Amino acid sequence: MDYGAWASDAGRPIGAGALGVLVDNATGYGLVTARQPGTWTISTEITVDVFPELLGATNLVAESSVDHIDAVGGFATARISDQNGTLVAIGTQRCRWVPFGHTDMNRESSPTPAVPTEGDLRTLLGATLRTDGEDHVLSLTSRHELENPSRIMHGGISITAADVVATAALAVDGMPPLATASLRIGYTRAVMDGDLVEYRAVTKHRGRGLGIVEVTASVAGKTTAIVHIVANPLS
Amino acid sequence: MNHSAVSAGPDLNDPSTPSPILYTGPERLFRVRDISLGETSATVEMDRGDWSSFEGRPIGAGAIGVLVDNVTSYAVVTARQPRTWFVSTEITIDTFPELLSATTLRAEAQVVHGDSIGGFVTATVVDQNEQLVAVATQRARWVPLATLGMTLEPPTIPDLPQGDLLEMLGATLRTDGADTVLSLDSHELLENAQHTMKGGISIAAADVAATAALSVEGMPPLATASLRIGYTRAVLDGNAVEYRAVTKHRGRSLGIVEVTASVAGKTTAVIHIVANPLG
Repeated sequence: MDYGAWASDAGRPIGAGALGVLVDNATGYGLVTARQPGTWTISTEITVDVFPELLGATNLVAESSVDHIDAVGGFATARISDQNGTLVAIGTQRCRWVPFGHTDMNRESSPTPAVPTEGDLRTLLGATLRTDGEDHVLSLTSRHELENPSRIMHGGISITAADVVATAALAVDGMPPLATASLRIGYTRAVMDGDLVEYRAVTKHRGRGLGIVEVTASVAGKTTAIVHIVANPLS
Repeated sequence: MNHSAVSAGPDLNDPSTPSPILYTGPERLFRVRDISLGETSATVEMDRGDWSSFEGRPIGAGAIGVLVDNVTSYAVVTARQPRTWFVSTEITIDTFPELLSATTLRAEAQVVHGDSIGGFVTATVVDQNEQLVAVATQRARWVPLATLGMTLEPPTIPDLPQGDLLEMLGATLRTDGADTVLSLDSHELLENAQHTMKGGISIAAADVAATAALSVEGMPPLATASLRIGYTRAVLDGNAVEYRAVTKHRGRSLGIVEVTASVAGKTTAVIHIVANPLG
């Protein structure tokens, strides 16, 4: 994938979140090759661990390998390198096999609307950000360009959204800036086309050298994903 | 944070000086043995047993917390900068079902990234049949060696308690409304040679608390599949630590629990646990 100025939000660099779709794809395609007969995959967890060199990257290559499979699901790891071959991130995915018919790959796609090509991640996602007491809340409506062929929101999009809201939550006046070092998402429920999703970030710890944020994604009050983010100082 | 143990003697200011190998209380308690070091890697073995359980349920990730902490710590310290040592900021463990029936384990860790701020290590854990049963990582930060108080005496290790993980830790469990709370006092068996609680102990305690929280009558049992811990503050000798498990999601096939560890109301670690059906 190409990495650039779009991998930011309100002027703050967004590393892990910008890799969400890349990691989801690289590990997801790897796992599909290892599926049981008559099954497809659903992601239960994805992780992204990033290194500072990511923020200076222009081109990224992700290579995945399947580490483990059994009758229930599989686990894959992806290594992401920049244009110089430097390791800039590691991603993993744990998936579960589901009956093939469970995932409707043939749903008719809605017409592709104009996709925003300019702007930062919040603009690309079509999201809005607000504060609610001490929490930060990012809201977006799932639509065609955020969805996979089954018209379910792509898992990588939730990674992006969670990182954007967590980064905003950790931006505190008078404190050193922090950038996401690691992100782990657990998916609990699919987000369907047209769903309005709220990503609520709660800061669990904000020191000068470490930040921990939990983001809960929900649709109409029902949890769709829980995301745990750890941030370190920008080097 | 988890201050790893080292002893006085060799010039540890020089990153090429290997870390001294120490077996303190947690290594004895968790049957960790045969620690060996490579240039940028480490290997550690351990024996599982009936102790790797809680109320008759096998505990996977929590029982290998000390193993993973050791192997990744001994590896990451090889990447340190001059005149620094390290503190763990994060440890992760992802387990596979075969772990629950393993008898002996071998963990191998390798540095995959290091810079002026810290290092990152990945590890694999295999069972007695060379089957991969877990993968793990540690992210560490370099800290000035002088700040860690490196003058150490060989620890005197008391007799090991018998029983399951809860009993081994000397912990108690209670409910507080919808939360499950595990309490323990840090003591010699749970600490590294600097008398701070070993990071792997918090992994074990958090997994027991989460397992208890996810044990719901009439629902299929779940076992921890993954655990990620972020360390925010060291736990000192004698500190009373509370691990408060809050269930964020409990379905028939997926559970998510957040555990917050604290001493006197101050957070020492935050742990995110995802559980899947057994088998």
